[in-house]
Amino acid sequence: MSETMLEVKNLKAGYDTAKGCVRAVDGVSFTLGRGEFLGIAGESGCGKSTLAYAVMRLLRDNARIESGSVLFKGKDFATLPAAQVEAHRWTDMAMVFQSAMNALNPVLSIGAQLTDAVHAHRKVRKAEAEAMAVEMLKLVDINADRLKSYPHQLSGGMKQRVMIAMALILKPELLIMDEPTTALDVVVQRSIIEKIEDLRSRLGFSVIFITHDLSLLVEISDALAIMYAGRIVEYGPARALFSDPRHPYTKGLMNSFPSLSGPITRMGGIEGRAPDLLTPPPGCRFSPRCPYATDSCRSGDGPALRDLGDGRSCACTLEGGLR
Amino acid sequence: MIKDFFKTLVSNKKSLVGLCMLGFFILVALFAPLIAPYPPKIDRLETIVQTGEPSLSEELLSEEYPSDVRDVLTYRSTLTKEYTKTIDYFPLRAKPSAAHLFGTNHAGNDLFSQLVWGTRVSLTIGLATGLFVTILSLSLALLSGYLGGIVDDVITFITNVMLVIPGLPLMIVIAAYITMKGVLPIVLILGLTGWPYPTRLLRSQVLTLKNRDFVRVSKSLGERTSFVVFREILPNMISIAMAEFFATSMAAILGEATLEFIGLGNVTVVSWGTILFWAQANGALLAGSWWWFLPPGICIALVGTSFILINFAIDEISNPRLRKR
Repeated sequence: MSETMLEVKNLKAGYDTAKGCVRAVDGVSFTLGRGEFLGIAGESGCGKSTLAYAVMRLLRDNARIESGSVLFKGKDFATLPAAQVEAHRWTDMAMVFQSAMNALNPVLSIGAQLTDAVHAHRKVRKAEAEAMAVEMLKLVDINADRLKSYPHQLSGGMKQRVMIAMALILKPELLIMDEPTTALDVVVQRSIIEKIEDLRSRLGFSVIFITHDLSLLVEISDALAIMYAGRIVEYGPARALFSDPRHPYTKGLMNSFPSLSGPITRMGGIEGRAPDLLTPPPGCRFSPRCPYATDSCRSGDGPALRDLGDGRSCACTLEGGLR
Repeated sequence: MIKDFFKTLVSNKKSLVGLCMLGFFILVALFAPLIAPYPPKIDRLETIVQTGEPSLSEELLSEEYPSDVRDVLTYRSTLTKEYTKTIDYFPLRAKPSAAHLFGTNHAGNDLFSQLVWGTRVSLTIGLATGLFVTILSLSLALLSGYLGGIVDDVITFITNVMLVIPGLPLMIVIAAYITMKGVLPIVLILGLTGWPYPTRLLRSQVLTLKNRDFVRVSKSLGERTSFVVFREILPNMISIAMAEFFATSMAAILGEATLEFIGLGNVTVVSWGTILFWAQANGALLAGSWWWFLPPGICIALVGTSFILINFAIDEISNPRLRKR
């Protein structure tokens, strides 16, 4: 692995609600190298978006980082003063938000929004900012004459590409993408993914890609982290995780989408529902749904991520995970 | 941008009609001295000079009288002569005629001229109040909606209290206590009773906008609060704010007419409201003098219609989605 760019250590973040604290991210640790593509997958409500926002220090008002650290190029974003985080945000790490439909201001032209992003961090002339915007639009295959277009005049895929252009306009080293393709159909999804891959090879930034679409991730990620109920349950190279899942939850996930070739089988799926994060189950959080769970799984703090070798780790009481 | 603005205003047929109507009234207000055949109120001494009649031939009064007696005589004859002349030119309660398009009122004032001059006051009050209320309610809405917390609590509380108090009676009470007469106090009264409703409306709009993703994006970019509010949120509110502006202007013109009509304004000012006040005070309705009370009413209705018609285009301007390509 190349040099480490982002190191998240034991990050805990949660939402304060009337009923108590919902800890959506509970002790998450991972590292990301320069130019690496990390996929984070998990079902809805497992805390993957919260993780992304926590890393960016963009949590909503009722959410906060409780403990842990987010080391980005040696600086701890979890404790850095807000003003300094702001200076780094977008210039060093940028984000592509979930729905491009809402992430673009409907009454401002694409060009105005792209140049606003430039002006927010760089003191440049209008013409220069515009040139940067045109260049970025070209990178995402949008014609320069679209600069004067309004969001509603673009298709969903184009809007998402504009969002990517907006995220990349200041040449950040880390791009966090929070379900960037969720609202798009598979064909457009594919073109967006290819575009991201293409840009990554050209510009050399790292990507954290968050989605619930596991099949997509397996294909494009270098490394894959599977989240369940606020914790990473398995981490490792994408291919290895796909072909040889070690955690029962990962296995359940991998079983829940069909392969294109091979015999038609009934999908397994995972019984039960994700736990309520307000009152998470004791022990391993997957234990209530886990077919392999024993009594030792249902007590204590739950298993921590253990190194399995080959850059893989798994949080399961079973020695070496499932075999 | 400005060019587009006017292009859209003109290309929309409804708003074009509205613009023409409003433009007509604004022109009338601006060029009132040129359009009105007579001053809004006749000064009897002045009138006679205007009509070109010699008030008194100096030769009649020869040198034989002592100067003080001469002065008295001059004065007397002037008065009587001028009075008869004035009555000839400005009959009281006259019906419409070529000389007086809408007739004259109880004091012999030309009603058409009054209507023309009144346009100034009524339009000024309407537009000034509309502007005042829109700016006030927009700032309050942005403050309370965007900042939230204690600021929001205080502003919302006052808004709620003001919303409960019925507007017209409050307006009447305030008007009765204000001794200052003129246009400014009326604007203030109408403005201070008119802000709660638009504030409530605009605040809810701010609340929905501030949680949109594009505002989040802007914040994550590290934009200043003022930038987020004025660049990201405000442009999304133009259409509703403009609608409020026109609605409030209309309400202000009506409110001014109401206050004047019940005699709580300044009855010496000539406005559409005071024409109605004098018409009512002099039994124009009983006498069936429609030329007295109908024109101001129709003017108020026409101005209102023009506001609504223009609003159709404002929607289109502020919402690029509705713009034709």
